[in-house]
Amino acid sequence: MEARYRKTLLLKDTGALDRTKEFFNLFLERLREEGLQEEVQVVRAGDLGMYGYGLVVKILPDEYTYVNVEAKDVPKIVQTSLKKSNPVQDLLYTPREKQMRVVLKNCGEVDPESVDDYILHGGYGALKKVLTEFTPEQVIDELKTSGLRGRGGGGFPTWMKWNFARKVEAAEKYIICNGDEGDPGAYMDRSVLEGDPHAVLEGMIIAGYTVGASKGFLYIRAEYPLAIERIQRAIAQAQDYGLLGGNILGTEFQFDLEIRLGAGAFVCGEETALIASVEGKRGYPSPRPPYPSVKGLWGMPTVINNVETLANIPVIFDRGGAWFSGIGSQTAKGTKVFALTGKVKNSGLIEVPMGITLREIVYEIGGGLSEGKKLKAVQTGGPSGGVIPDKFLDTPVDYEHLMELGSIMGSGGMIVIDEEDCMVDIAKFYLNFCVDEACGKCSPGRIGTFQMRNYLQKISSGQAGEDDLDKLEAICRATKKAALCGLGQTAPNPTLSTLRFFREEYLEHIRERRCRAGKCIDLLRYKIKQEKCKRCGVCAMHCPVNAISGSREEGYRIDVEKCVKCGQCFEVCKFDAVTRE
Amino acid sequence: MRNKVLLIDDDPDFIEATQVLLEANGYEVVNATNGKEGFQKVRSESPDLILLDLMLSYKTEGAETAKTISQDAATKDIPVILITGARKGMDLPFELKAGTEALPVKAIVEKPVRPDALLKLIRTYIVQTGESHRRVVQQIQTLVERWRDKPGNLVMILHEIQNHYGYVPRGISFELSRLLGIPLARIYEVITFYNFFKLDEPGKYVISVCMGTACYLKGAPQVLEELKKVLSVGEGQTTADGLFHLQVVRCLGCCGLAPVITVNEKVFPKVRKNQVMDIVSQFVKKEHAQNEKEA
Repeated sequence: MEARYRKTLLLKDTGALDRTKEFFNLFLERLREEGLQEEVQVVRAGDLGMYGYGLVVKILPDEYTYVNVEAKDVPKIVQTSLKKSNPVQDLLYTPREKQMRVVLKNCGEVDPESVDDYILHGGYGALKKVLTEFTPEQVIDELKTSGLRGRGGGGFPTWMKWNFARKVEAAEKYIICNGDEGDPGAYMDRSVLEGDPHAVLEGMIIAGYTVGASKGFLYIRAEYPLAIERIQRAIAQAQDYGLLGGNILGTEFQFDLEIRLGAGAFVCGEETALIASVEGKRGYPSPRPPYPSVKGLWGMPTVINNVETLANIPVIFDRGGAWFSGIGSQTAKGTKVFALTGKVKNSGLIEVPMGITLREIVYEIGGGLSEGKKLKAVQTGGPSGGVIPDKFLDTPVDYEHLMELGSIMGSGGMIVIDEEDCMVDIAKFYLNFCVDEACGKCSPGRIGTFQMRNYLQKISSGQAGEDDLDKLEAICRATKKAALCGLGQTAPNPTLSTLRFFREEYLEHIRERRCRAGKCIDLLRYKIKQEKCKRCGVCAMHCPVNAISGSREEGYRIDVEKCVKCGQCFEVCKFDAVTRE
Repeated sequence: MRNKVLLIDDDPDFIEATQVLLEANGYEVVNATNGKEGFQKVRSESPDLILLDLMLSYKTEGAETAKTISQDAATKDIPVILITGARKGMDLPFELKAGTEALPVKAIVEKPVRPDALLKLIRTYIVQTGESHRRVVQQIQTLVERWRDKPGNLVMILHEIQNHYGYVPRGISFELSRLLGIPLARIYEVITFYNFFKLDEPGKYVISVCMGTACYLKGAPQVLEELKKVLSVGEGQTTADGLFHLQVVRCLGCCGLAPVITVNEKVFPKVRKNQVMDIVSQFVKKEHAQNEKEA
């Protein structure tokens, strides 16, 4: 059957005034004048999923969307888009996507197990360009233009790191890809390694060419078997295609890659510890300077870059440093991948341009909080970062702004915290992590973290005094100054930042012995509400320590002295008569 | 193929008891009652491990047999565990210490021997892989040769060993130390630093509870408590029947599924406390069904 209409025009006013009817008539009139009334169907649309764009016109099947249309635009639209099928450029709507895929562009698009597919999508084009058109100095210049900074946490300019290593004279230099993603709640590197392994390889080969290295290592967590398998296959394929080995792409340059596996030590994410681990030793950090770019793996100049940093390299040379520096904020260029998790509706991996606000991330990309709860804070940077309370949600996400708020960009963990979470508990969680993971080499890292945790434990169990807060802060400051490596120096951050923004919650624990979120078990008190109690006695039956006394006639009571706060009575009561506060 | 243990002892009761114990645990047992017969059996049976009594027909016969075994090229690599009745007042012409020239044995065990301790000790020297011990040693040799020229190889070798056995058996660390020419302490230093490496055989089903931040906030601690209660073990422990090993892991990297646990390779997303029993019993049932089928 022949379609009745050649085109359909959808119409909707998304602004304050409803001018849909007025424009409906305008379009009909104009179409009649052009003799198109039989060919074009005009429809007043119910909802186009767009708000605040004035009058919106959508033309099907061409999928042109025009926003903020005025009466004077009607003839133009009819002439260009309805009579012919061309777009009216100046009215065209370009969706302002919050997310921007630069690093993750190939993930899901390109078969990660096929080098051919990667090449088909322009892969290794950057490498070819660099090897044939760029001197190492020019590579550095281009990187400088791009403004790329390390994505592992610190945000050190990548070109500087490469340049340091390039300038040192040495018999051998190394490139290491840091894939020891240890932050709890972060899995950006895993996705890149699994989804686009060749991009990481390409970045490493370019790094090798620039600094004059002939050997590289990919240090990957053993907990990521699929990433390891894909990288292994990618290396083999690249070797087959002459992209690794001697005379790469017919040039003099030679470079090879090997995998080294991490073995579950958080401290190995720190570059000096990582080097020790690649050397097959315990992953102990060592003091810097000398920096690895001068004296690293086996005493040779070594560039260590995070997975995401390296995955940015090919696209920078594909599209130019200037293009890259056009994305992002004043001080931070490009995009950043975050693992958005916690109490947010849509948790997942997101990639956003630098400088986007936390509010946009949480509410527009994350879809707001789950179960309609109220947002309390956003945590970034994992155990080395801090919390950002809701009043700073409009802070742009880049290195400097987060630093000002006492947090860090980190490798990309972003955890949304709601009102049901206790800040003391969260600080304790991160410190527990640091205590477990402290390697034991320096005393601030070993003893400082342990003592901080003790104070937090004291606070959350209601045994602390107000002076303990000062002591806690003093230890935090000392550890920050005196610890040997990055892990130790940043371990106090979650505590310091929760103290800074949520001091009243700490004081509540101390003064009132109360945890408003109900997370600190020792501060909870269980009680039986007599008016709700049906005197069934189930709670008394379940109490493991016989702290509930009474009978069906007299009713039941919880003996606070005996109660171990196990919560059994709270769970078994069918009438919500047991309360905890 | 079952691993073979040679038992050299002059006490028929001990032989019988030990034989029953070892056979019940999947070993093949051959025995001899004196040193001479014992050495003949070492050569003819080529066992994977030897349990040797010190005092046979005279008080140093066991020690001399151990020496003979250690001097024969064909038998010198077989681990020997010495078993002795009375440590004190024996008035031996040498010190009672394992690994010396006078006593070339791996370990010394005193009678009365506790069955579980003996089994554990045996397992540290022969890995029950269904392969003969010699084959295992050969594999380790090939593995070491493959990595020998690569600097920083130790961590990678340990990874391969753990991948194969599920843990790093002590016996293999000994072999490794010998083959790489590095002290055992160097190997243990590395094994104990990294969380990933295990020194004990894990249970058949390893339950990993993710304690990443997202899982923590969404109730992983409660799930862990429930697992501890259901399995009656603590973190990092294995149930008495060897079926389950409970461990806490940092982050499984799938925070969208929080709280998440895995049992071996199987992932259980968004676990709630009251689902724990179901999950565990799934595997218990599976195990029962399998046992019945075999029986």
